[in-house]
Amino acid sequence: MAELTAFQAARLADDVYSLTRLPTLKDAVTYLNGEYGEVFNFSEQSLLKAKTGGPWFIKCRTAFGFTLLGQGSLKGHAFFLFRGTQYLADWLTNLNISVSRSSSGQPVHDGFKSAFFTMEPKLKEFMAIVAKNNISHIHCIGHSLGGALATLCGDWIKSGYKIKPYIYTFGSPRVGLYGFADFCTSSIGAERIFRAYHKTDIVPCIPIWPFIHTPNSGQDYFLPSPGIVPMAEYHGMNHYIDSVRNKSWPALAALESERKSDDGIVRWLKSTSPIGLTITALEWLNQALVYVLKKCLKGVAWAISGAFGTSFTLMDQLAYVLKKGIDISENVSSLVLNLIKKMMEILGMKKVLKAAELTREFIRSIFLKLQQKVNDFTQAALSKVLVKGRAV
Amino acid sequence: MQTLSSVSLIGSLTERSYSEAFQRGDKVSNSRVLNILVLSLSIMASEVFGMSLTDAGKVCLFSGISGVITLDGKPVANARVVRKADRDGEKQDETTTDEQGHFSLPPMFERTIAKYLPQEFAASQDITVFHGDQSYSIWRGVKRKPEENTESRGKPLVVACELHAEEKVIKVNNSPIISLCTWDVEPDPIEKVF
Repeated sequence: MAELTAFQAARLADDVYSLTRLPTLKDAVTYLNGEYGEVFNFSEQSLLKAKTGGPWFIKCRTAFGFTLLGQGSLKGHAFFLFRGTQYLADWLTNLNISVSRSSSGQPVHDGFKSAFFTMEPKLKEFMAIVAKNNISHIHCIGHSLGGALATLCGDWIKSGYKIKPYIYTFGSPRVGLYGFADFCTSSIGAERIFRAYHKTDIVPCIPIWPFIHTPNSGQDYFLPSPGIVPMAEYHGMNHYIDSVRNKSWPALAALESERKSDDGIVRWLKSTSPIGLTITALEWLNQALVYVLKKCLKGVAWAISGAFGTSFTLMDQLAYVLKKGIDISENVSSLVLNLIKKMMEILGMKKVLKAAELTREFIRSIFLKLQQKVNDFTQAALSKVLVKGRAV
Repeated sequence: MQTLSSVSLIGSLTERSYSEAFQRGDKVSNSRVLNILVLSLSIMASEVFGMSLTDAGKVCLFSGISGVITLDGKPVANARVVRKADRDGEKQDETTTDEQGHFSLPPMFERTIAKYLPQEFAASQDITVFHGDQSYSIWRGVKRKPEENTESRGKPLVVACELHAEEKVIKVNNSPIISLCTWDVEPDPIEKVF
């Protein structure tokens, strides 16, 4: 066995929530042995601790994860398990968006990094145990925030110990900027990074651009889920476990075909029904943009198709195109025009648009306005929550 | 806009620690930081609109539990039964067994905006019985679902606890429970994983 199956990784990603909530290590061992037989061997100091919260938030100490050594059929394997946002404080950590440097020196979400580095002393202790136990495979596993921590842990292991770990994430938010995603993917290898996410899981949609997903090339694992609107329900580990049960990684990779159809996208682009700034509209816009960009780039001798994986969001894709200096107006089609019109509609701009007006500067200005609008929208809504919350 | 109004509705259910957290922070205006929460809140409109306000944000940390406590088969009278649960801060209540060793504790709820956030529910559970100068841990677990009576698959949770019985680990609704009590429930099937 080299990598874990999706089901094995999902079960461990789920177990860590219970493990960190059981009162003693002994209870945790009892639980794991009951579930899996005697395949894990605890190190006494394996309970990780981490501070939560942003730079301004009340600092509380809470368990974040577990480290495990395999024995028996898992001999030679070591495990880093990270749990997600069990506390609201953790969630605020998620929201603490500023950028700092990862172990490999690449730009990552500062909140994730801060949470990770409070655990570093414990992780180092565990790596010393790993070194003495003839470990050939290290697995970093996590759900939600835990997925971000698992990714950072993988980067940390590769940077500090020159070992290529396996990374498995379920519903992970985006960990870093392009530099991190690209460096992490190439140094560890896309084939060792397993990022699974449900179509309608809200968390992988955040933080918004310029954060992007790791791996940024190769395969990610899109799992169909009901609805077209991202939501909290399909962030749940129970759904992830159900989605991957009895399926190999290649079988999961094959599920990608259930994404929005091209016909559906074209219909959406051509539809005249009014749209506003909603998650649904942004999701459609995201899909439509990928579609239109592919049409624009068709016939261009440019090996970028691989770059347009699911890790590219609306903003990423736009930024990519802008960066490459693609002047869409030269290849303009009715699709591009419709796309920009949709963006303008979401922005509340009623301007009648002609193809000739689609300069690169104009598209960039629409892009920036859209980003600002999304930010303002969410800020306004959150302020209401806070005001009401204080009034209670 | 529908999403906005729904957010304000959820806002009315917010929990104290949540607002306190932000009151402590001076940087609420750091707008870009806060997008995500609202993105997730705003899309939960349908769930909130579909339920009554009295139930909104309510999660069950420990279901109502009743039963009989015995020691070597004899009812344990006048024993303190102390129950704790912790999801985001510890809650505690207690009762005393009657002459027949019977006790009963109501369901323990908590209101939290977290119910609407995309996060796993996990509440630690603990019941300790104090009898004479001895204490007995009769229940340690982690509740992984926010609904009531998940410990017994929807039935009322009625237990029989022999203080000298051996502890067993059982998983019900993905919730591990280490307990010397017995109750009428089918445990989760064990799947071969490794």
